[in-house]
Amino acid sequence: MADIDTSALKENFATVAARGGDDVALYFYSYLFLKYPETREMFPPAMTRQRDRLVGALVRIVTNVDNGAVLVPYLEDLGRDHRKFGTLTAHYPAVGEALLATLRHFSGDTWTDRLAADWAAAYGVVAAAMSGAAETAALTDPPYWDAEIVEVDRRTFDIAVLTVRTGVPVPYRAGQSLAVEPSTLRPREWRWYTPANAPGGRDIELHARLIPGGPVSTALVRAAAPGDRLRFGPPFGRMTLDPAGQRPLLMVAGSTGLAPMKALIDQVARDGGRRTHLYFGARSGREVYDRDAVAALDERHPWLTVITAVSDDLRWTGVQGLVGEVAAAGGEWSGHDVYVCGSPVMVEATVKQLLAVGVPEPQIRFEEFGEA
Amino acid sequence: MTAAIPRAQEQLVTGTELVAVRFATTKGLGRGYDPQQVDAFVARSGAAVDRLTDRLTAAEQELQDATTQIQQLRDRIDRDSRRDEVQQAVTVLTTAQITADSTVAQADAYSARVMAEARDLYDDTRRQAAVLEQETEDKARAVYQDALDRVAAVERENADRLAQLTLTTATVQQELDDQTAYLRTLRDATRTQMETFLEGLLDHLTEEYGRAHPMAAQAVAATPTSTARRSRRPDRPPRRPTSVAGRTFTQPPGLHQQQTTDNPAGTPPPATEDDGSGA
Repeated sequence: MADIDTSALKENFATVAARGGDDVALYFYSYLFLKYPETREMFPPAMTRQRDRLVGALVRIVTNVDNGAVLVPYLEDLGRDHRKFGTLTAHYPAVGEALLATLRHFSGDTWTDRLAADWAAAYGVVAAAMSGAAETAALTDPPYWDAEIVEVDRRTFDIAVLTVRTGVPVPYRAGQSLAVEPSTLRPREWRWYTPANAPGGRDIELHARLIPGGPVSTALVRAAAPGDRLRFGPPFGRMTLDPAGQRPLLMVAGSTGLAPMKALIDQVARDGGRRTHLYFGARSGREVYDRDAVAALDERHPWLTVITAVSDDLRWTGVQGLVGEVAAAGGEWSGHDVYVCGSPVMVEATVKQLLAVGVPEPQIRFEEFGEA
Repeated sequence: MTAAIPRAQEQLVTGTELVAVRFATTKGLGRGYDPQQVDAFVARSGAAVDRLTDRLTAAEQELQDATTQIQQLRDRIDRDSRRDEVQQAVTVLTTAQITADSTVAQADAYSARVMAEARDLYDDTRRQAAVLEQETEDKARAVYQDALDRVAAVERENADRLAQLTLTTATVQQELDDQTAYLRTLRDATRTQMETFLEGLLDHLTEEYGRAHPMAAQAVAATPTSTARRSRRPDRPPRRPTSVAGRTFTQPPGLHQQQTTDNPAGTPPPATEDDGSGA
């Protein structure tokens, strides 16, 4: 950003943030909703998570304000993603005004006209990047895709497999995640879920695990019924197949981390098949929630080998142990493309073990479960 | 005086103008004012007017300043109070949002607690069930193994008993054989004795009879064996218990089945009491 004293901006932001990130965000949204009441309905009633996201985004933007190579792609993703909330280009000035008012309020005596001008200019650049990307995307894609739940299959009391049908096929790549809003049950709450099948059709299979206290996961697992409406946002994530890749594949999945793996296997099958090992881990035999489908895949595809490891069930007759350890010890993987998905604890431990047995870091792609 | 002051009412007369006023002089009646006195008075009045004018101007300026100041103060008060309202409104909204967030957070926390307890209960139950299943399976296996062992033991016992019985049977068989042999021997001995005794008896009788009838004696003396003698008496009654010298003799069973072949030709062996039990 030329002509903007970015170091002064960073210093001012640090001063403001020192007053408490949550308080800053509270003031920002209160000002915005006071001045522009029509924006209130774009947000959910409870704003705790939203404030965390705002603070996170602001921190990220200010940190990278001098690093265009990192900042611009982030802003463009963010701008495209914001379309699903119904955000329009006309909203950006209001947000800028609220942001400046917030910064001025918390800066106190340190606020200067220069700061005001620089902040306004910086925000202008941010808004232009975001709304520009959004407008470009609007030429080819809708802001969101409406869908209807066709089937809810509760495999255990806290894991459900949902079949969802969209109006038109959603353009994602196998392994990517979609933002999901349970429009009927929890409007305006968005969480990330990964389709368990490759793209192309109108049906999407979702694996949902109930997180205690999580409004969306609880709704999807316990309250969802056929006929309820959902909304999908644009795709996100880099846990996809390398289109030019020829290496054999190793997949390590914990619990509902199985979903992206199923999608990847679906894609590999359509592409002609590649030697693939899938290690699936659960705590007990009952939590091997997709046994039939996975066994069917194992049988149908000669290039696929599936190993199921259970960590905490003395009645399990198969492999016992943590899936990460079992996978790392299960073969020679240094020449494989590796995909890992599961809880943050499981992903961290598994990646560490795989690195320790010699898998090069660029060959490992992973994703952790998001927030509830 | 007929001096005219041709000015508008709001315009102030200055001292200079006053002094410049010229009065017409009187014409011989001797009742006019002393021109010098009049001039002096006008000059004094002029000066006073000038002073008053200055004071008025100054006062107007002061008034102007004060008015400006009052307006500024008013503006500031206006602005400040609006900012305060904005602040109040923001504070109200913030408080409302915090309350809403806290309420939702409490609900989420409650839901989380309920689910966590349910999951803990589920896990505990599952583990206990697994332990129970395992124990039950172990017990069942133990019971089954125990039953197998018992069956094997019973089979072994039966085999032993069977072996014992077989042994016993063999022993008994052996005993029977021994007894049979003994009985045969006894029979043979008895027969021999019987024959001997009967021969003796018959000899005796023959002797006695022979003494009575010499022809019979000669006939008897002609035959060498006792069986021949026996065969010459076909009308002898079937053997019945005979009492000889106070002792009763019963025919041992099957005794005559083993008759020797020394019968003279033409004479059937005597009828025997045969109860069928072979020796």
